[in-house]
Amino acid sequence: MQDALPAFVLNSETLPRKPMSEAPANQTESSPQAGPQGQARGLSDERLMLAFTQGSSEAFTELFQRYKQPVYGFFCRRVSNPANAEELTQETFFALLRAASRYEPRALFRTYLYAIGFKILRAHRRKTAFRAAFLGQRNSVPDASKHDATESGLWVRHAVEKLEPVDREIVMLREFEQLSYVEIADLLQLPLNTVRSRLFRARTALRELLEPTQQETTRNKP
Amino acid sequence: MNSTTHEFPSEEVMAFLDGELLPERAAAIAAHLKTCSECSSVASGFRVLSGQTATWRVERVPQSLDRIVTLPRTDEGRGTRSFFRSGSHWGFLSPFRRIIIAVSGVGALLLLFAIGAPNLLRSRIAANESSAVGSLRTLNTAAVTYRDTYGHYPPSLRSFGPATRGKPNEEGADLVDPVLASGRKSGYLFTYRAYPGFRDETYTIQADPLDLRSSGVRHFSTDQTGVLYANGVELGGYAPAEISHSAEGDAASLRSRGVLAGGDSSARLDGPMIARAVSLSIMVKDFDAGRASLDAILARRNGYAASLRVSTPQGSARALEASLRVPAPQLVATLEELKSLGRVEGETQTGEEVTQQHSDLVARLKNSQETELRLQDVLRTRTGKVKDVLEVEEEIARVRGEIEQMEAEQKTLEHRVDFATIDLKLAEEYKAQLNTPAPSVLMQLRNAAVDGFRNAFESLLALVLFLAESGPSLLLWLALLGIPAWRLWRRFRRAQSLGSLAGA
Repeated sequence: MQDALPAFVLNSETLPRKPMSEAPANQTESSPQAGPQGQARGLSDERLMLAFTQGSSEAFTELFQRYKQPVYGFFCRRVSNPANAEELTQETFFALLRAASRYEPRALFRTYLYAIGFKILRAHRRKTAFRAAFLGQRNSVPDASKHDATESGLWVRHAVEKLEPVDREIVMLREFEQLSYVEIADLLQLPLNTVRSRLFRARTALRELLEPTQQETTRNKP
Repeated sequence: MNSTTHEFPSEEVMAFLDGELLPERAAAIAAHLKTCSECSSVASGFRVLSGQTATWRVERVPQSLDRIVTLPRTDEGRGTRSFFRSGSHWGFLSPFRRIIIAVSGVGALLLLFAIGAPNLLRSRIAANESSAVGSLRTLNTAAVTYRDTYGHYPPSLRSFGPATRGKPNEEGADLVDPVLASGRKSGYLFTYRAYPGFRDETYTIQADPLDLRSSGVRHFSTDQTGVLYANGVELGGYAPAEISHSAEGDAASLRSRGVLAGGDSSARLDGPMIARAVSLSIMVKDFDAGRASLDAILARRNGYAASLRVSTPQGSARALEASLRVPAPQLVATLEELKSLGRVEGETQTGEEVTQQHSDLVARLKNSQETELRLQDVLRTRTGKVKDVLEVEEEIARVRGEIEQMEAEQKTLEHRVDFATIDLKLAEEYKAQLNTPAPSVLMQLRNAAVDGFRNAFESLLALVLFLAESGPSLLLWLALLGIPAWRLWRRFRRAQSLGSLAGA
């Protein structure tokens, strides 16, 4: 677990993971990703993953603790049923377990993990579409109350759903998963500039969609 | 706000807020935002939006998910440690998928094999048959050469081959390759027979497939006339001049010994020329004795089997089908002897009179020969333009071709008259046995094992041959079609990947 990383290993500690509502991130600022797992606490995701590939279950536990909520949130925002989200989260980590021997730290662990998540999500959607088409099973109606505690959150969800699919995914990856432009480009296999311009377009559209809500909220305030 | 009035476009302001700009550029925008209220408004708009989206929260992850890290590693993913040790590159596939892929692969291979194997077998059979015909022609030519050298036809097939020691001699004339001289070549068994009493005069050669299913389906035969037969039917007019001439001599020799009727062509013209064919179906009690008697009759009557096929199906009567050729004068005696083998179940005799046909042929041949002589005389005695000379030469060549064709037809016709054809069907009188001795279990197992190994080997061989024959083509087409298809597939997957983001 203490082995030195190869020179080309990216280090997620050097990348910002702050929402836009906070001050712009400093490129060299390290983000706190500490977990509860003793020795593993201060290590980057990539170091932990390498340690895991060498058999450290403690490293995996630490990674799991760091990412279980983000991955669960990733699925919760994309599937209709929280039970499905839980199942897909579980599948993602099992896939990580199975693919660990082939892990090479050529990209950020976070990108790697979300790429697995995307594959599993796609498979899930294929199965759901197949069942809907051939077995007559309809998608369960999303229970918004389980996802969104606030009315504002519900409005955001509806507004996001109205976006164009690719734009929606870009904006969600940026806003909720806090991925950088490069990571989004890697995940969606899009050029970096396309990601930036589409994100701008999506945010502009989202702002327009949310403006009535904002005005309504302002009016309702005493 | 636009880029013409502002130093920084809104998109760049957004990138600044996302922390995606280089430090120098970020510092410049930060300074600009302090002075430009419009840009500050844009930035605050993005910040408000970000704050709004943050209100979409999801519930805490269920505690039940923590069982992933509490499970023993061997329960999932085949265990991390054991998985790492295996070093498998297929680890990402579930066992079920692995089985599906393996079964699909084997299925595809079998399908490919099932499609390719029959064609391969057919082409191999065709190649073997072609080789057998070629070998018979080679043997005919070699027999003539042998007779010219040693004064008689070779006594055995081995005599065609190379000498065991020293220079070529009567025991080994070195006229054919040792493989052919051994009697087995390209899936065919060659049987050469020089008849007792006429050893120096006639011979027959038979080529029978070693395995009727895989090495060949037709039986071939030939004799000193050079005519080739496939299943008793003449194959085509291949009769080299020297062979034809020697065949004529052979026929004359046979006639002089009283085996063949008539003396020469003119003698034939005296009486009717009849090409006789008999179809005989005989039921015998003892098949083995009948078969042995058949061989003896053929040897005694100077006949031969142009084709012969024996079928011995399990649990039913054996049967023999043969096309026999016997000298026409010996036909009656041969038939009598054949009929004595058992009960005659059917007999058909046909006689096609070819006297007129032969007379016409002889007359036309004579005319053509006279025309040729006249033309040669013209060429020799008359003078004229070069063009005229060439025309005469062309005419001579044409007439010469006609003469040779007619001579071949004449010889074939005479052969049909000289040798009668007997289509014989010899069937065994089958007696169902109450206590048929069944093969022992051990024997059945042994036979099954032998068949199994042979089938496996043949399948493997067929597969290897198929790959050798079609592999380069497949690779070529794979390269031509596979690479573009792969690129299209990648593009499709990418589009699908983006399309699937539309959500369920």
